[in-house]
Amino acid sequence: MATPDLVIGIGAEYIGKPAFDKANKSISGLDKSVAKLGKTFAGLFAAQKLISYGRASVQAFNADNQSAKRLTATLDSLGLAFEDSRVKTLIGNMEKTYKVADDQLRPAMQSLLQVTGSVSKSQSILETALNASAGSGTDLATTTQDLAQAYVGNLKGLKKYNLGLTNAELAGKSFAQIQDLINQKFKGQAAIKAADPMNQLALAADNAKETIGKGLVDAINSAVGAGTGLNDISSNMDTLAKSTAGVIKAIGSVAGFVAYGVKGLVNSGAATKELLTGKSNPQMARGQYARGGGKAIDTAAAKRAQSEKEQIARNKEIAKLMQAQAVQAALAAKAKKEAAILEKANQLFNIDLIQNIAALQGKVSEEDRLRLKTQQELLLGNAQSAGELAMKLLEVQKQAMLARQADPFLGWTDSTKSALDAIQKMIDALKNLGIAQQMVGYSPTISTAAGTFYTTSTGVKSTSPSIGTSYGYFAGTAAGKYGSTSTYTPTSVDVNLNIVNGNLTADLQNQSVTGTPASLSRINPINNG
Amino acid sequence: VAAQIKGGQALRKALRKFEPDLQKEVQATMSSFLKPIVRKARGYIDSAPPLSNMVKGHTVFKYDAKLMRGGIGYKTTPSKTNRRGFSYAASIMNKTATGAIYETAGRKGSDGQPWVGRGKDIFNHKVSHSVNKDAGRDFINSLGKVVGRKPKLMGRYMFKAWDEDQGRATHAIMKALENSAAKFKQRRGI
Repeated sequence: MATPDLVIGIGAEYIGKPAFDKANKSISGLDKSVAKLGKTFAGLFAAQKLISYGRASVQAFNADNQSAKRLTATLDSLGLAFEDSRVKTLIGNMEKTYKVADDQLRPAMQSLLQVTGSVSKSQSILETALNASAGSGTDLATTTQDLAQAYVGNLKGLKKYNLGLTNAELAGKSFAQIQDLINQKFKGQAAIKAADPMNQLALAADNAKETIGKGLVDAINSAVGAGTGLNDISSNMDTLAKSTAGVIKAIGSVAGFVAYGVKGLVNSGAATKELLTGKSNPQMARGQYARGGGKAIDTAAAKRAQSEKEQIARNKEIAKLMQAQAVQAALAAKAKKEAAILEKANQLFNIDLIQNIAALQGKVSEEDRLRLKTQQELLLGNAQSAGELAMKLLEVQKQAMLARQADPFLGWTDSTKSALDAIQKMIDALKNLGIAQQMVGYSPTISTAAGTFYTTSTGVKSTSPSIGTSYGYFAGTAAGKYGSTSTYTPTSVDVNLNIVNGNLTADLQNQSVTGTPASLSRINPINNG
Repeated sequence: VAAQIKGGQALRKALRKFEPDLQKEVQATMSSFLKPIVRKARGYIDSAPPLSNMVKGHTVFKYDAKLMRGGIGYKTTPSKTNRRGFSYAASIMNKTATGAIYETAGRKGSDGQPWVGRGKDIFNHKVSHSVNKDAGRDFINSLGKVVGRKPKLMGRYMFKAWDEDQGRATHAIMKALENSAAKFKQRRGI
């Protein structure tokens, strides 16, 4: 029964803290549970790690196996199938010496073989690549690719190895020279890297993984049947039922075959006798198979010699091609240089240019000088200068046209208007082409108050400021007050008109006296309006 | 500081095992002091409900004087050790839920629980869901004041009677235990 909430306790006695005991019990229980859970989890984790490791091992073995198959196929396609075992031995030795995994060496060897077509040359380049890779820090695949490209004349990839040669110097060297240079520069680097215990450990771990992977694959193959892969398990399961039925059916037929087998055994005695005496195979009887091994070795050596010969020939061919390319390039550069000289020289005999230069040397007006200079730039093909000069010329023409309009109170004639419009159109067209407008022949007279001057940022004083220049304004002496700095932009120009005979003044006064305000309008000579 | 005893449980066990008559004597002495308090407490429970509507319904709020009186009692054997590690030599209790409600209503405040009304905050039992927002205050006012020196010892029946006893029962129970211990030692020659 639960203790009632409303209780008055009399004679309290402290017994202990059961809550703490309970908590202690719970904690110890929890500890045990956690420990148990930990063990279980550790077991589970270990199992998961094991599965994961197993999977990685199988993948590593598979990758290794695939790379070996690819290399064999490459050798086969290059007609070097007889070198397969030699290449395998080479790679195995390199792995042991340089502590580089065979699954890195095989693709490298494969790419080199594809380029050189020779096992010896590929081996030599691969050793260079191993040193260069260890020394420069680039991965083996990249280094091999760079060297393979260099072998066929593409030297772009060699820049990263800092060989201390210019592009031209590199281009002038043969691959053998470049290889010697790389060997010299990165000598012994691969051996230093191989001596690193961590490197050795990593390689050993990788190899162990591959071995375990192989073991696992073999185990699975054994479980599902020899010659069957993991991918075939499911199909095997499907066919199992059918096969079982087939086996049962076949058992019935076995009895018939047994009788036939017994009959065969009777005849086998004679056949064995024939086989041993060589009657059935004259070659075996003559012992030719015994000598066959030596013959095969001789054939391989001959093939190797042939392939080396071919490779040397190919090498020579490449060198010849590269030399021819270099000669062609030199000839092209020479031709270009000659063309440039000819072009320059041709300018000397350009009649237009001669006339232009002669004209410029004579006495000509400013406008004509601009014309001539523009023509000269056009003849020389200097677009920007020609554009700027043309713009300047147009501005000069415009100013001249405006200046010709002597009487400011007369309107513009149609011909003047159309000429100005045409000039403006050309200016706009040049502006659209990115040529800046030129300010020509515009020098307003600025009247300044007595003692007022402007000072440029470099301290030059002036009483007549020029357009577009920044000034600090000073009133009084140079030691006077300083005003705000601003760029001078003229807003208006005062025109002083002196009337000689005084008729205009009299007319204006008369108009004013009659009560009409005196005014002055510009008269259009065309319509008198 | 509340009076505490040491070795009380051991003494009671020893008495029960070796001197049962002494144990009975102790319990009789305790009863003689606790019974009047219980009787007094029961006497504070009116037969008629404070408000006529309190007799309606079947909830724990239904005013049932007989039930409530029966719920008030005493115990002269040691209690189980509580969460704080204390055991009591004797105790008085108000066991029924109804009795507990009518005993202690208004301890925390004369206005009752905060009112929220019907259908709001329905799982909160510390607010009033009555249609009448003054229900709590009306209920408490109808019951009269709670009496006691400490918040946890305030009430209308048991706690009121206990408060009025002014600690005489406690003193007597302690004395009875002391006497029984002395007698036990004397008999056993300890």
